[in-house]
Amino acid sequence: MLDREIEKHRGEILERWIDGVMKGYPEETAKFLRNQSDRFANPVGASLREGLSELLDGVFRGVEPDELTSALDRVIRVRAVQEFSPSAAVGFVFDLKDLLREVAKGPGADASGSLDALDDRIERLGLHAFDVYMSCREQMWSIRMQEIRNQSLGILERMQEWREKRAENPEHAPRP
Amino acid sequence: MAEKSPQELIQIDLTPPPRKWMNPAVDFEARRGTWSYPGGVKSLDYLGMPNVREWSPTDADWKLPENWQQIIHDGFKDLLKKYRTLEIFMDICVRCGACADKCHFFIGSGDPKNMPVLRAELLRSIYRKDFTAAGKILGSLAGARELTEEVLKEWYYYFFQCTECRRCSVYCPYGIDTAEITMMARELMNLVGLNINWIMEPVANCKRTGNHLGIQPHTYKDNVEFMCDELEDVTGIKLDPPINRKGAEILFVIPSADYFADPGTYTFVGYLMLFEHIGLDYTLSSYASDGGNFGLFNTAENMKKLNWKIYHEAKRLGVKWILGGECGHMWRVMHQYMDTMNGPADFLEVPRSPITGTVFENTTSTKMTHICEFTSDLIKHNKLKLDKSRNDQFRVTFHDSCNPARAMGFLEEPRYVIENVCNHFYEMPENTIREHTFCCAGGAGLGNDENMEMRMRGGLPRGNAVRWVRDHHGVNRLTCICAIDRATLPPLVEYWSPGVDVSGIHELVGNALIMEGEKERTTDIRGVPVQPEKGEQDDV
Repeated sequence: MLDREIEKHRGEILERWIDGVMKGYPEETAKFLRNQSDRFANPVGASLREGLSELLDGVFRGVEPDELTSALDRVIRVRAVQEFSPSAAVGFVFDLKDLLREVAKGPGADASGSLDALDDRIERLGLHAFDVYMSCREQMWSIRMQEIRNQSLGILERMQEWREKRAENPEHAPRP
Repeated sequence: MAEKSPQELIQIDLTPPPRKWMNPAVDFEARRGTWSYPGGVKSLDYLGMPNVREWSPTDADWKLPENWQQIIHDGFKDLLKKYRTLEIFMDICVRCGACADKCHFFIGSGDPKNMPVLRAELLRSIYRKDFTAAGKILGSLAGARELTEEVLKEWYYYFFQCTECRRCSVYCPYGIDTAEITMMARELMNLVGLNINWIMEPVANCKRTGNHLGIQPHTYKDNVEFMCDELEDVTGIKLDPPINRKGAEILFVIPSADYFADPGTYTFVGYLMLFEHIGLDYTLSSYASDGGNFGLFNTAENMKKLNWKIYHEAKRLGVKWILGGECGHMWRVMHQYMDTMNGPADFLEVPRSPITGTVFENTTSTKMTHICEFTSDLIKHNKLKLDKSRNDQFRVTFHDSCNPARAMGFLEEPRYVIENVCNHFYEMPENTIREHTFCCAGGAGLGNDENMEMRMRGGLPRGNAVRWVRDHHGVNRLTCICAIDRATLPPLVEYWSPGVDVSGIHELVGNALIMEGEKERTTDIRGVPVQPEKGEQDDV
């Protein structure tokens, strides 16, 4: 099984995948993302490591993309608000195809139908990545709209009801 | 053209081209969501600010005064003369990098110019060119740059991407106050008419009405009555807080969001319940109706004006001392600037709790004491009747609001209050709390909706720590002692850590207080029914 053969190189594939994504940031930032291991000091690095690791295992195991939503979310929620174009924000998924091919070229690998099967999984994962990206963007916009609404209406709506009640009921008349 | 295989077509090179930091170029059009709208004409006119005009950062022409470079040069010179610290901060940095990865905006955005050291270099490079021999002679070799329009635009972009939270300063071996570097850059930009509306409108409002929201006295009174009526429905207690009452012992000053926006409104009624509970002789004021001071984010002159209105009102009402609510930057202004700007307030008395007799000697000069300090003192002296179990539906964590934590060293009092009013309190990881606390990313005037994408980037480190306690301890309530936090943390947690609600500490105090003559509480003070298990716990 080619999957097994490739899985032997899981560590190397994962490191190269993470490294490739980190290289998408300016040099100084990439250095920080790589070297700071504290998950609270470096949440972007931590979410990349954890998210990509789970995604890689999912691809090897042939897990349906739907079930990898939370792992995709770990990575994409961050990239969706950073300075990436939509294609760059989700494009990291497709990097995996080349990485697997490079590893499969090694001794003992039989680049046949299994690689195509993996390609298929990665492509479907890539499509799902767009869904996750869009849901993050839409959520951010809805948060923004909600904030505008709260600022302009907020307690005013509740106050309006209160004023109407007060007007009808002399007990609640404005205090002197 | 040679045919490309799908494999070749899908090759996307994500590596950005190398860019030297000295090259300024901000594409405002492409970066919508990460900058704030400029100050509105009406507010700027009202405040008498220079170069008032309609403009947008996306315009090619920012309509600067013809001699804008000279204006900034002269302004810089004045500031250097006025503040010795500025010259020291400009000269002393050795670019050790200790601050580089401490800014929430850098951590969340990955943009190197959000590293505090590099953000400061945007200003320092001009200082070198204009005011140091090495910079004048060696130019870029000495890290000096000409002040071009591009550089100015870059200032506008990055100095309005600093919340003046001072986390980076905690790590600086020289103690450089990076917030003050941002403040100086903003002072200079103001000279040529570069500022943002989320700061200018509140400053103008506050100058006119006494609060950032522009609420006039009759509306202020209406709002207070409305909240008291809502509270009556929940507790059966009718409160009638005094407003503008001359001769009261204490003037109570709060951020305006506490009486105009949820969830701050519940913190507000928490304060009022506390005062009723202990029979405090106090007054609210519809003129000193904002503790917040957006002048801090604008110019020293405006900060001074807005700060003075509180003291002016204290004098007018003839109070003995001032008690301040759960506000963030109000305390930075009070603790670090008030005394030299408008102090000492020697027409007031040193704050002394009329209930416990404790004298708050730490506020001898400003005569203004923090409500959490006041409340902790009451708790310490067993002056409050509290039922902690009324907060059992909450698993609480505490976000140290930047200014009280770092500008006052105010770390224990809020925790003491929380631990005495609820049973389930969990700290976030230690490098994200106390003096290391991560900002809400909406302070210093940046908490506006058009800047939402930047706020989400900067909010990641805080959101990440909240998610950790949510996942590990089931935390569902994030408390804080700052009105900007109460406004900006809800969107932040919705994106990064959904399922967690935000409140001030005195909301929890209000929940726990056993008020004389109250009816049985079936809800918290928001009117939300308490969960069934609470009843079971009561039976134990």
